[in-house]
Amino acid sequence: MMTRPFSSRAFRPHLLTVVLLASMVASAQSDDDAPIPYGDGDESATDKVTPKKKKKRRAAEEIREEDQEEAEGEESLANIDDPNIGIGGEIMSGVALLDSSKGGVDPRYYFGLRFTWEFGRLIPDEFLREMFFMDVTWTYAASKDGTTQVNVDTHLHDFTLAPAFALPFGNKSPLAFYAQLGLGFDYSYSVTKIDQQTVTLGGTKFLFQYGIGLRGRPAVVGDGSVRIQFRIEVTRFIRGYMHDMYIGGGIGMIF
Amino acid sequence: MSRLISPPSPSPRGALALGLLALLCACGPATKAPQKVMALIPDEAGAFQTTQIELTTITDITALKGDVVTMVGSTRVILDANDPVQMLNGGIAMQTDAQRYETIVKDKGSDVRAHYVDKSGVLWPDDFHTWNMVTTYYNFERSYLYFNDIYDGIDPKELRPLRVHYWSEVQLNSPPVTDNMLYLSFIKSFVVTPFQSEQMIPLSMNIGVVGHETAHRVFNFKALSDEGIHPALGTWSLEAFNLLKSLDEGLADFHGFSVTCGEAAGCRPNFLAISLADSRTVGFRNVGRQDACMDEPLRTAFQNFTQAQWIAAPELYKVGNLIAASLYQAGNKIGKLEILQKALIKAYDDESPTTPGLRQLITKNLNTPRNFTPEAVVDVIAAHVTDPELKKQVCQEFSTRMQLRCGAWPCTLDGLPAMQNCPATARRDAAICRTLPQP
Repeated sequence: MMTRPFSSRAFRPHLLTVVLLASMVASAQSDDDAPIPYGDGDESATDKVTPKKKKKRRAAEEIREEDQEEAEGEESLANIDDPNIGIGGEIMSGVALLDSSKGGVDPRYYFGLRFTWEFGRLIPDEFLREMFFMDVTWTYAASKDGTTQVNVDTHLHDFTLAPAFALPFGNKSPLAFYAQLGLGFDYSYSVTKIDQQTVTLGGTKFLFQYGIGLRGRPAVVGDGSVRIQFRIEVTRFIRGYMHDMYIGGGIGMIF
Repeated sequence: MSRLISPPSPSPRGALALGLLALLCACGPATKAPQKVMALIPDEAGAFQTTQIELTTITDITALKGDVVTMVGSTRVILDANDPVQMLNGGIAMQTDAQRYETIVKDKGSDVRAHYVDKSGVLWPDDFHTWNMVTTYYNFERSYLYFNDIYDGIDPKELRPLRVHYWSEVQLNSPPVTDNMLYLSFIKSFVVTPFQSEQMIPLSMNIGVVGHETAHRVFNFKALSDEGIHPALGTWSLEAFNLLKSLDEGLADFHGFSVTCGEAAGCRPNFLAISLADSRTVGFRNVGRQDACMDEPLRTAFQNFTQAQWIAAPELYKVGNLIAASLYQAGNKIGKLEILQKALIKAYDDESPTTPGLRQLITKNLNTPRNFTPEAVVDVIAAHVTDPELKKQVCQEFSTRMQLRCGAWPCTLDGLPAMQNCPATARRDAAICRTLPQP
């Protein structure tokens, strides 16, 4: 076990409270356990016992303080073991099974960008800090349909903010299963061409996102401060009353 | 004045729950007929434009369902003579409508989900299929209104609702059908198939084509007794069969043309020209063709082609065009198209013993198809034209263009009086079509 590298001032007031509470309990316990003095009216006899009690209380305080400090030390160790600050980005790609207005799905290629913040790192607990992250995502898919004379180009831009809950496959495993929920909006614009005439139309729709995936973040450098981030995922977007499914993945870096 | 009682508002938690409920419901825009929506409609010059229309019969603008049309998406319609299910109970001809639908429509599909952007209360289609489906719905609604008018006071309940399989995979004992729109009487449904080669105005965006197909439904209901597979089409052959098929096509072309007359672009007798690249087909199916005449090769085919040959041959449509062109010319020359349209509907089905309709003619001659002749058919039509001038013109046009055996009246065929409903003033016009020698 390493020695305590630094003290945590932030936890001082809490520590004090804990110590005080602990000392009160310790004090109560010591009162019960203390030998009952003979009632000879000799006050000095009591005075002789007092230093023994203080010594015991001090020992309890020290033990609890050490435990607390040890816990703090372990939290800090989690940061040292993985000094990654949890900010990253990746490019995404895959197949978008767009809900087709004619019924069924309309398979299209999609791509996008995603920025990730592992906000779980705000949590001191070594396990919990690996479990939470949040994505800000932009995806783009397009479809073109029709005849040469009458056709429509439709472009879909989906923007979402989606927190996720991850379950690592084991302690310190770079792989995790995750589930995600998000909200955002879809901006779509279409270009309708009839002969030489062109009509452009744009509009936004509320977007609800949910999905699951597999996320890996293997270290690139020895201390783990730079990692590759990749995902394989299935995500559904409720776009107004349309239900789109995106099957794909992403790859990028996280620091 | 301040409000003393405010309406109850949902708590934040309640509002969240309502929001989630609305999200899960994932409903489309509310529908209130008449629904304002944009469609692709030809303007007065005939150029297709994004045009604001009102759908008056719609009840669900997302699923495109209404009193007149029920649209179904992505179905699979497979007619397969080797399918054991379709051979049960003596084959599909012996099955009920419901059984046939069950066995032939292999994939029942699902509701369509038209996708819009709302602009100040007007819904704008946001993708190609929504444009196509909305325009298709509008075309069916307009076709329905046309038939509602010419039914002349009789409720066309058989046209409510018209089931449209949109973007359906269709195989009729053959590879998948593309670039087409059909009425399939055996499943009582219209099918819009995917397009592959045709790159012009999609067929279902063409109101003339939709009117044509709706006319098939009317003919099937009235003249063919609403039979999914009429016995005459199974047992007749040669001229009787060929005439029945061409009559159906010709009347459908005439009504298709007639439906176009109600639109801003006006009457378009050559309505197929905007959708089909094959100029030869477009040419011989032009309802307004002045030189539409039976020639010797066509007559030989008409009299001698078998069922299989006829349904695969362009001659089927060429004879159909002679029927459509005869009606077009008769109605236009006199300027009484509407009277003619109404007369045709009456002629489809008439229980009167003095003026029996086509249905009665077909039913009566199920076992004597030789009596189902062009002369007999034209006589039924003439019997239902009340306007004397129009009646005479109808007899003349048919006699001239189809080379009927009656060219002057009174007419006797095989020793019996024929085409008794044509007036004595009617005459074949050799200036329009050269008179062919009678066989």
